Amino acid sequence: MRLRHTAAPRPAHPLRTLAVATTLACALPLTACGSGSGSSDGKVKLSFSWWGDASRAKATEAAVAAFEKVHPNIEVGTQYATFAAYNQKLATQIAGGGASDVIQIDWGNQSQYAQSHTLLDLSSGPGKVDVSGLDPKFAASGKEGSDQVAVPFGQTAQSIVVDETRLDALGVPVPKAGWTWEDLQTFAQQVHARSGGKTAGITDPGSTWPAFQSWLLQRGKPLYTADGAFGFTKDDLAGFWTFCTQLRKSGAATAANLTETVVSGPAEDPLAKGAAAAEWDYDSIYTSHVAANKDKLVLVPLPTVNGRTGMYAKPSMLLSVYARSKHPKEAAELVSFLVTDSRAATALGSSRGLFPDLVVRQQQGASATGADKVVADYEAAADSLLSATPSAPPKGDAQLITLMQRVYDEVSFGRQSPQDASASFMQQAGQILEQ
Amino acid sequence: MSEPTPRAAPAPAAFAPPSGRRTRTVLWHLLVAAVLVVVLYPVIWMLGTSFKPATEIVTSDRPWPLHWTSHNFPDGWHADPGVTFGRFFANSLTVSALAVAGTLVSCSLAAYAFSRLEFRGRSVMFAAMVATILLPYHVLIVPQYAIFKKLGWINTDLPLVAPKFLATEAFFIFLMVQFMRGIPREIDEAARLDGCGPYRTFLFVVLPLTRPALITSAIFSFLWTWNDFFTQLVYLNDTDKFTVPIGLSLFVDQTGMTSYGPMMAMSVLALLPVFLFFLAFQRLLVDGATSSGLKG
Repeated sequence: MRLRHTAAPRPAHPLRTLAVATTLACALPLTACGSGSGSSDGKVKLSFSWWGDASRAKATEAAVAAFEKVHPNIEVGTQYATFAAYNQKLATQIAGGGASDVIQIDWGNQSQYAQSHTLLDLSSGPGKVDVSGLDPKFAASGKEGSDQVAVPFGQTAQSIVVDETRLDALGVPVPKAGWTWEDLQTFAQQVHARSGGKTAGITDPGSTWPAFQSWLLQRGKPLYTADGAFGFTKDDLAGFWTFCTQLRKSGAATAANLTETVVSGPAEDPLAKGAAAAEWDYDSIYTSHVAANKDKLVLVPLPTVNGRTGMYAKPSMLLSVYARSKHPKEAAELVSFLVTDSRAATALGSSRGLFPDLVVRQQQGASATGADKVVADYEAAADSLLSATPSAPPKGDAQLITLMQRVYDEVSFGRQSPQDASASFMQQAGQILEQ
Repeated sequence: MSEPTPRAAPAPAAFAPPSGRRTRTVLWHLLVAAVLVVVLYPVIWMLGTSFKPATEIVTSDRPWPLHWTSHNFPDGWHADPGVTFGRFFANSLTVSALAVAGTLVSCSLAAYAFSRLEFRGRSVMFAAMVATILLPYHVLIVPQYAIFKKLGWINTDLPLVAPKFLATEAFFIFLMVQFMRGIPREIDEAARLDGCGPYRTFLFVVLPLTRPALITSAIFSFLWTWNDFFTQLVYLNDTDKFTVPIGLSLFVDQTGMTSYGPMMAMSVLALLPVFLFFLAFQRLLVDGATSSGLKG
């Protein structure tokens, strides 16, 4: 027999009161904490989000404080997370319509966000940012068509980080700017031979997508065409991988199991372990390499083809204004301050790469010390070797970076030939780009 | 959770030589110990690493430190500018405690309705409720974010806590419904004859008998909220509102040095509440299972 309970007629039952109270408690703050951009004290409240770690947090807070001092009517709230988490969060915020006024974006995501009209055009209108202090070619990296959707917030360039202490001990000279890939081969084999096979000359660059980009640029080919397709063929990739395989097989480049660890960051990679004497990386990572390594490290430009290094001024990150920001003018002022003002440069230090504004960069470089000075000097010397900055990579670039690692593993572990692997890469990469 | 100790069938001593049995027991224990070491290795590594100096972490493979240091704990505690890890712990505890309370109150009410009351559309609603378990979280996050944004709840604990009070955790409802269905209806009937309405029947009869399910839900609700990273990451913006999982993630820097020592030290601390919570409640769980009052 089933009991049939009907709705209780008693109006003030304790449990029902509890249920109502719970609902009310949930609904109350609805009115209590209204939307955050209200300005009870007459101040404009901006939000600014970026990625990084605690040390960058300190630097960024200091730069924001300097901005608030100059603009007492603006209050900036900052939020940050680490890179992967930040990008997930930003994607959700943008889809849900709640991103910060000023957002730091990765170059790889720029075209994707620009195409969905979430980034304000900073070349005209209320959110105009003066970028005349920047190298025009470098500033153009933030352009999508004619719109300036982002302003670079730090410059980096490709380099080879070399362990000078180890080379001195082995009696191998440090490579010089203008060296070729053949020189690299000789150098790396020397290191391997003189260290008794303990140290490879270089960490195998075959899994590094941007290393392949420079390899192509040296041969006059772009990684991507202007409309976001590949600027190279299967044979170009097979050529790169064949070269790397030669290096690896002779012991000049690291073995597969060591090469794999490159993704975990400077502290755990072959250079820090003493298993390689040189490694491809961006110069903005140099400080981290120094922190992870007891030896003296120096920066050397990439090996060349007909004098071309294939290096270029790359934005390590960019600043954008959210298209739905309620305060585009103030947001643009913050962006301008962060990329051109010397007070911002002082506060930010080198935690994001070279400062965008050229005049301020020079002042900063002149007074730099330690690892910062090495990077500043390297960039100053490398300036004449740089190719033009290509336009922002198409959507899917981040996936290609991991695809490159995965497919090259097949080659370096000896499961596939460079030819077969490059065919397989082109096929999978094509699908990613078409999405 | 008890360690399996296989016993040979109780045979008279004369038939089973004690030395053979002992060898087997010893072998079995060795095997269990070996498996335990493998399973616990990451925890041991984490504990050891939390006492290692920074230089030793990447250079040595040994799980315990050569040179002991306790620096990682204060370093991790004060790693972020302007806020200590204590704040993250307080925030995590608040969110987790409220989530547990909300889940228990709302899910038990909902489960009672589904298992005992008859109302129009019950089976359809029950099916819909169960179907929400199947929805992947990433499908829900964007519309949810848009709703909470409209409500002005972003950067507060409300998006993390308020839904728990509205019985949105279908899994726990399902668990409790299944449990309540196992409670004989005769007990309700007896209560009804004694003059209990549906509310009192719930509060004084069904709820106490559901204790094991409530405790299971409390444990899982606590663990899931304590360990949840993505929801908390998306809804909390200010550093002083961050919870432990977000605080821990700040140690991982993609481009630079990951501060493993402080991160492991804080991870050890982050595990403590979970461990204690489980320790406190699993006794109740066993207790509840054996004393549910369902005697013939």
